[in-house]
Amino acid sequence: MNNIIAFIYPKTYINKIDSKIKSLGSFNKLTTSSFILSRLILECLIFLIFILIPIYGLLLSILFVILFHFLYEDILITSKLITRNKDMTKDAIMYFNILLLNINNYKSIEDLLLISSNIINNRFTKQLKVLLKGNNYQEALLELSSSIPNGILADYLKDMSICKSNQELEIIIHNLLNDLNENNLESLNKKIGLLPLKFTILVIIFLVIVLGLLIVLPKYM
Amino acid sequence: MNPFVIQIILFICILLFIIYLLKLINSLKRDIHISKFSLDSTLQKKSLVTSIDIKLWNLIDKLNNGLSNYNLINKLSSKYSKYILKSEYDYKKEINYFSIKLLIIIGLLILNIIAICFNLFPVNLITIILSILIGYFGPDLFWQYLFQKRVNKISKDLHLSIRTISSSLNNNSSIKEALKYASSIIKGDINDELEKIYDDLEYGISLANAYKRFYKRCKLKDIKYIYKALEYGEVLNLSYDVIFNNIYNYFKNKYELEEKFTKETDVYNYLFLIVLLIPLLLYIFIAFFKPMYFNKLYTGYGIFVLLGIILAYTIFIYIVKILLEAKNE
Repeated sequence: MNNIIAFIYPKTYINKIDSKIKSLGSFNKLTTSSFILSRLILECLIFLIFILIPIYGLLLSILFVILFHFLYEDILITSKLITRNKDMTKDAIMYFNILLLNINNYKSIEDLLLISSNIINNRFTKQLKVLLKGNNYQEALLELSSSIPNGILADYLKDMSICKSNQELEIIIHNLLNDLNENNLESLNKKIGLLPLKFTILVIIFLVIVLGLLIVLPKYM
Repeated sequence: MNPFVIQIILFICILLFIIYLLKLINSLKRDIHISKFSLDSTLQKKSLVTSIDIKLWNLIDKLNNGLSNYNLINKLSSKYSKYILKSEYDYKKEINYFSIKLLIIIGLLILNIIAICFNLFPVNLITIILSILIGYFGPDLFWQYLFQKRVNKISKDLHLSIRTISSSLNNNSSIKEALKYASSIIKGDINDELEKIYDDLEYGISLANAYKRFYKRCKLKDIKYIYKALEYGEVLNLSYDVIFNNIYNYFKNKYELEEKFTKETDVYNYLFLIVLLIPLLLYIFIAFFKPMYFNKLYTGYGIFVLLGIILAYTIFIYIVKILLEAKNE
């Protein structure tokens, strides 16, 4: 099956889908080959079904296949990535904030991460616990950084994997939390900036529909 | 109906509404003025509405006799404990809520039977089933709506409560003294929850578990962080002032961002209300001068048009609510 996929699709595309699916985490059951193959089979089915429609069959089949090609990825991967990004960032902020409570009283970073992830039970720590079982903390943090969609958090996890002492870790965590707060502020400013445009468009559509139904339609009924 | 009559009715309704609003504003002002100079403590006095409320609940309590013997009813009633405030423990019980639902079902069935006797409704199993379903689930929806309003107010005061407790602990108060101080300073729905936490501590429950119970009542994500931090701190034997300082620092940035968003988007809340009122005002204006204009909306396909307008309102309100929500992403 993998040979069929490698034959049809370019390597860069397969790697792109692979990195996206990896960002969904280790608890995700979707694999690159199953995703691409299932999409291919469904696209062929849709093409065959719609081409049977007289006159416009070919046009409709091409349109629906293209629509399905992008929607399938959006539904199965992109939407889940957006939710995972938000959830993992929130859980990581919570975890690292609580970690700062007693960071210097542990003998090693490995003890600190193991004990704290056992007490604080959320999606981020569940992922960390699974990775800490088979590996040392450096490998676990590197592996975790490759499955986090948030770029800032992933970079800081890589930095944490190379630090040797609790004091270094504390500085990195403080910098991470500051950067995430600044990122939140930036996204908030963007949201505020776009609000007038979104609100205006929404109000225009609402008033056109409601006033059209309420005032104009009774005259012609 | 005579168009002149419709005009008169509309005019009277609007006039009555304006008079009611003016009287309400006037009485609120007078209340504030009197309370400043009154020697009587208003805390001891119960208003007429509260007295009627207490009498109703006592009556329902008397009707409860026997229901509490059934385990199933006790299990079904246990979820209503979160609706009872600490000050209501004297006269409200969980099982009272179940009794009210039964009374509403019985009331609706009686109305159904009366309507059938007077030939207003046909003899139909569906209306009876509908009465039972509305009587059982309707009050739940209403109470849940009131509870959610209360939870929204609590989430706004949560940051203030954490700040107050943290500063009390930094001044070498014990955790109980800090909670007492916070509940005396902060006025609002969170007062009740702080008193419940204090009572839990008095019963020997740990602070982390008390906040966990608070989280189970309100399901606020911010409280989840508080009890997780307290659990972690208790395992490591950390002092409460260190834990609460950490919690306060965590919430500080979050609330600063939310406040900034709320300030910047406050004007849109007023614009939103004005936009909602525009079609209504136009309807009243046109109905006043030309009452027969909207007659076609009340018959035939006009009902679908009205449903379409209600749908448009619902979708608009839902989308604007999401846009103006101060959630951190």
